Amino acid sequence: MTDTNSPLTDRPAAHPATTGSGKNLITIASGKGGVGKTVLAISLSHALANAGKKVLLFDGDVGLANVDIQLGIMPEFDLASVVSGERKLTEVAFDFKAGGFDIIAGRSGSGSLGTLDNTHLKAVHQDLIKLGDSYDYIILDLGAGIDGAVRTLASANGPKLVVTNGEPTSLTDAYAFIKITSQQQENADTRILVNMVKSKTDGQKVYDKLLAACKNFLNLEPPLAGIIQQDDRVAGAIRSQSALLSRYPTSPAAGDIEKLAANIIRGSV
Amino acid sequence: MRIKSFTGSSMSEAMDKVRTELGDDAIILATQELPAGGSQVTAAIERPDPLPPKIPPKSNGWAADWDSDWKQEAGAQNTPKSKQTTPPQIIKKKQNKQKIALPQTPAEEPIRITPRVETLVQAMAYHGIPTLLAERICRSALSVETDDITMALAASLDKHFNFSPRFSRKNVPLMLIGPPGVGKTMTIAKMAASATLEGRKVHVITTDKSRAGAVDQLKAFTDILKLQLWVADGANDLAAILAKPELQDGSHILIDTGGINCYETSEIENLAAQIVAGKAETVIVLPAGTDAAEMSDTAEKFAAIGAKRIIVTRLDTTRRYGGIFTAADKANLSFSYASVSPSVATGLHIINPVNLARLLLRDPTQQGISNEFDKAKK
Repeated sequence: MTDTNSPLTDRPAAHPATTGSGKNLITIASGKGGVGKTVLAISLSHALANAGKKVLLFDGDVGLANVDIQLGIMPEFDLASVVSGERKLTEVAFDFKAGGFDIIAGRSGSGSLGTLDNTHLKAVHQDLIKLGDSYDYIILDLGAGIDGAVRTLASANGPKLVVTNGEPTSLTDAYAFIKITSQQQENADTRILVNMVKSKTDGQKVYDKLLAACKNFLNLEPPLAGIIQQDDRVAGAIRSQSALLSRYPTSPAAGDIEKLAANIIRGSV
Repeated sequence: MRIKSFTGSSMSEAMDKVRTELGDDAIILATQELPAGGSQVTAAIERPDPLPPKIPPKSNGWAADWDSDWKQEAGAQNTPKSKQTTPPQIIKKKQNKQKIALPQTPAEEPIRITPRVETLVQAMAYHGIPTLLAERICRSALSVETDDITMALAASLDKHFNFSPRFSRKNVPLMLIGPPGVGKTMTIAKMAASATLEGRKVHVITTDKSRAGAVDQLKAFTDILKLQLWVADGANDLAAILAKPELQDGSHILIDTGGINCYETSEIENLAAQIVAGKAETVIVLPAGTDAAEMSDTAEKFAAIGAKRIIVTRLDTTRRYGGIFTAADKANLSFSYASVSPSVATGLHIINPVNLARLLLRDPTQQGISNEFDKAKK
């Protein structure tokens, strides 16, 4: 019985008991697409950077990346350069000067990224966690869905902000994400972020619904991370391919995101 | 989870609809009076979903072959087999159809992947314990009925490994063998020091004459302990020293040997001759943190000339311990002592299943590895 060549000798960089690793990695997830994850991730990175923090925004929507599109930037290197072995993850961060934070972009439509196997993805994820040593925060913008790639990228120890806009489909998918995460990780730090609602009251109602489902079916009580109001200027910023906080710094949504950033820095989110 | 909203002219009508369509298990997420009149109830139901993803049974294996004791625990469903005593001809025809019609029930109970399984498997992977061994350890640990994962793992390690720290009777000399530079001499020094501190007398012999400074290194320790160091030149000389009247006082005899290349037959033969001449109990000394395959190869070589126990060194300066487990498993060695500190005064620590489990599950970034052992001591 020769037993020494095995997948398990493909060894993780961190022990599961090392809870410190990846603590500053904030994952933005939703399950469902189109609930404003990417613009939230960009704006949150921006707000944290404005508050003087060193931030890296990682586009984790491998294969259908669009952080770079939303910001109208064209990084010389991206995740595809890492996967091809051309560059190391530490060497592909793009200095987004207008926002004061760094970006590691994906590459939309890249076949090699879209079909990235779990071994490569895990390696990228571990490098990303290590990269956390040189940043105050890493914001990880996850893709939609709850497939293997999303679950691998969501496995860090830091907070996971689950975005929902309150529509039944979005609630169901957010719930599914919370459920899967709780099965995969003991004491997963999952919080609910309500986006695109008319008012704080509406946002609270959305949170209460999801909380009721989590309490009853999963025996979990994920806390509320924040409520971001519906704001037409968000769409305007995306259309003009510029950052919300640069183009409409005084808009209500921008204000809500700045509050969220302040809470994160205070450690209360 | 399925979410659905129900409207009715009154709240109770909407509630009735919830009950009719979703049943009594539905929960109410929100209620609302509609601006246009009437009421709306948002309800949800979770379908029975008690089966998280599973580790596949061995046929399409996470690992291809695990040990018999696990099979006995999980696959005690021998009843379907008795049906196969029907005439062979009929069976042949039916078998093909049956295979398509009903999928065969797996012989083993698959393991459900829970955070606890993840933690165990990730810890095994972190330490580089090979798949088959890791799977055996994990499966046994998960079959233990306790919430304490450390104790579950300890119970599993106790089952899969032997632990025998106590060395045999005093009239059998103890001989440490192993590759060069693994800490044999330091281990002898630690043993001699703790015996002396406890007021027990020991005799120290070394056969390591070839390496420059080897005798001097050990002599530095024996001088401090005011012990005589006997130097044996080869197997015959060792036998002659052991026959000396000074060594017949019943005190424990510790024999240090020179590190050898276990892949060179002549060196192995030479060491084997010393073991025979010394009529000694041999213990292999191996350092933690080296490659699992290499370590088990080495262990097997030394086990072939008589080593039955293992002393593990360098636990303080390493953090990945897969090699230890692979070596003990492959060469069928019993765990005896561990060296967790460079200091001779600290001595050796007993290896038991609990501190090995702690070692595997502890956060390697935490300081003070010896704590895992000190805790276990008393």
